[in-house]
Amino acid sequence: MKRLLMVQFLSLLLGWWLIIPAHSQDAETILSRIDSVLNAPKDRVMVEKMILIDKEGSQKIRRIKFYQKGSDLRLVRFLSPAEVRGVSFLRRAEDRLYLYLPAFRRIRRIASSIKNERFMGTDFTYEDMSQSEFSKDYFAERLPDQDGLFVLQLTPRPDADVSYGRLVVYADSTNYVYRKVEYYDREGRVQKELILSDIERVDGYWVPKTMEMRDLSRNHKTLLELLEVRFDQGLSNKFFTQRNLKRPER
Amino acid sequence: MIGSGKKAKERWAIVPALLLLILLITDGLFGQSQRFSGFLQFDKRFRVGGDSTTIADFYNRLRLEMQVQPGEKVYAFASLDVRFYDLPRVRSLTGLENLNRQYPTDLSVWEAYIDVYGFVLDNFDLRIGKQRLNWGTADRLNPTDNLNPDDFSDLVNFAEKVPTWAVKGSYYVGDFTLTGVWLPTLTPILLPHNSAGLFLSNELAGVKDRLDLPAATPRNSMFALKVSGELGNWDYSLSYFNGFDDIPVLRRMVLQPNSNGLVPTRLELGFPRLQVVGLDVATELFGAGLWGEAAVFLPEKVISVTQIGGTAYPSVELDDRPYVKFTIGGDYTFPGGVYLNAQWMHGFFTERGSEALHDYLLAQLKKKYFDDVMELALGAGLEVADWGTFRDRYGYGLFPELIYRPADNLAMTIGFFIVDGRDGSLFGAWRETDQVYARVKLVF
Repeated sequence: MKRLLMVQFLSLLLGWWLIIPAHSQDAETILSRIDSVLNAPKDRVMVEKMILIDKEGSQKIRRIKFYQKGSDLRLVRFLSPAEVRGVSFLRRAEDRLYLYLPAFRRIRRIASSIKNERFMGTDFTYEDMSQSEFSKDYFAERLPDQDGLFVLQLTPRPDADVSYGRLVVYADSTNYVYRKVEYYDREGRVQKELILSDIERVDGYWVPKTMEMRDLSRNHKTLLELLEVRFDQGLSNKFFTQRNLKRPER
Repeated sequence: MIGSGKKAKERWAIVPALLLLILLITDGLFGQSQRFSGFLQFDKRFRVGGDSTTIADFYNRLRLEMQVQPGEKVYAFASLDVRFYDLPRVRSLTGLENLNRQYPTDLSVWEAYIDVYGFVLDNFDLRIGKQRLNWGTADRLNPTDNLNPDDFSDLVNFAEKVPTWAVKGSYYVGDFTLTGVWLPTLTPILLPHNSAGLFLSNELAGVKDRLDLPAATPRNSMFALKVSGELGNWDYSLSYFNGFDDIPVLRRMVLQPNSNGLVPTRLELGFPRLQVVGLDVATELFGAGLWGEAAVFLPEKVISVTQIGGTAYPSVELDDRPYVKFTIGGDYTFPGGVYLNAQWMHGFFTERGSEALHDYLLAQLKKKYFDDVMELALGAGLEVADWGTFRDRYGYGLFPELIYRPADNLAMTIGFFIVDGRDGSLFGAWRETDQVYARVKLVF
């Protein structure tokens, strides 16, 4: 009986949480829900096509396979072109990054000072590729909503090891999927803009099929097209090790 | 001479057949799971170290790689390395009858191995075949990396190694990895073409020599063990190697009198036994990567004999006192994308014995420009034979390089390898090898 009451109480609490009016939610709550939606799957495996477009419009194409478990563990393998095929990147923690270079058959631990650098020539930095929980690194402040989107201004927490001065995140007020992020440097200049589109529900999770990162200072952009995605594949922590990093992709 | 030409033709006849066989077998057996890759690299070397500039007899390269993954647990990799030279090696009219003398070519199986993942035990991986065994955490200057022979065929990349035949087993327990390697025989160092004399003193260069490899017996096989793991924010490994030094040492020298006095007429060289105990660590501090690697070398004592007429004079060629080589270094990427890598290496690959070890301070700055289309790398090195008498025996090197990537998979490089130094320094001994190189590499 006690147990039944407890279940009813929790259901009531969850229902209240879901129907709470959007406008009355504070910024930290919204950010926490954005993070929850972002990290809802236990793990994910994605194949993505990266199109690097310079200011003249010429394109370079890369294909990557991306594995993620939780917010910390990530493994990225380059599938093409030939010059980077097999290059793999492993993130085991914020300060534990490894790169496998198949041409040298060598795994190198890489210093986190690389975090501001562009990841393999794209407009995503290593920091962008590692970011999956905004609330861990940023305080949120709510700005006026725009076109049905929550607008949050994020400023770094004092102990956060991030390179941006602030972010402005635009998130859908119905499903908490973020649609756009503006990245500002420490001097307050907007550096980059990330736009997520073609958002669909796959296996119960919201997924953007297209992401576009624009570097406004370089007039360069990277288009990320999702080719395949699988969720909750049961990836174990052992998958995100140096042993697996040097194994070839099937 | 004609006979050797026939042999070369026969050898070359095998290559297309081999490639065809690989294609047929893999296509038939494994369908889509095989993949071909490789690179084609043209390399021109302009020697500027002497009185005049010459074009060096350096190799271009075609690498053909094949990978097969017939199942979840098995993977195979093989690559053929074809090195083809620009300069003909013709010394007589009959040489003009021989295509391989006009266009000299070296062919080798560079790597060929089979991986078995989860062999017998889930946590045990096995690799059998000709392979590169990378040990140590320093950036290419690894005193604990003694399993593969040194590859000095290109002095510009003097830290390279040649893959060698081995069986490697790796067992994974939590954050620990235990690795055991067995190498059936010693494979010696690979020296630069026409420059073997660089590794002998001036008076011995060009003397007729005989090189004795260790007898191919189980007792002379080599083995190595390594434990690696993580401790807090540190990665570490402890290693042990028991085998042979891949660089030969003098065992016997015959001197004969002529008008200039006693001159060497014959050398006999061999490979001393060697044990190496190693430790390496890597970590990160304030965003900078840091590493340290040390190896205690336990060499075999080598007594060489100098023979003058009928009398033999023994002397200690290599002492059996242990000595330590180490590398300490770090790297950091500054805002704006300038990458700095700096290392202090105590003891070059060819140096043996605590008195003979020099210090090398090496640094490189790298920066990419124009959406990564251009990359500039500025490398420099300072060699100090003895800090107390720095001015008498120092050496230095400058290694700038500019890489242009006009399209995916294509890189064009121009670089300089400039070394000089006082007599008694390594860089001083290499001063004749100063070169400008122009390289085009296409990866497929």
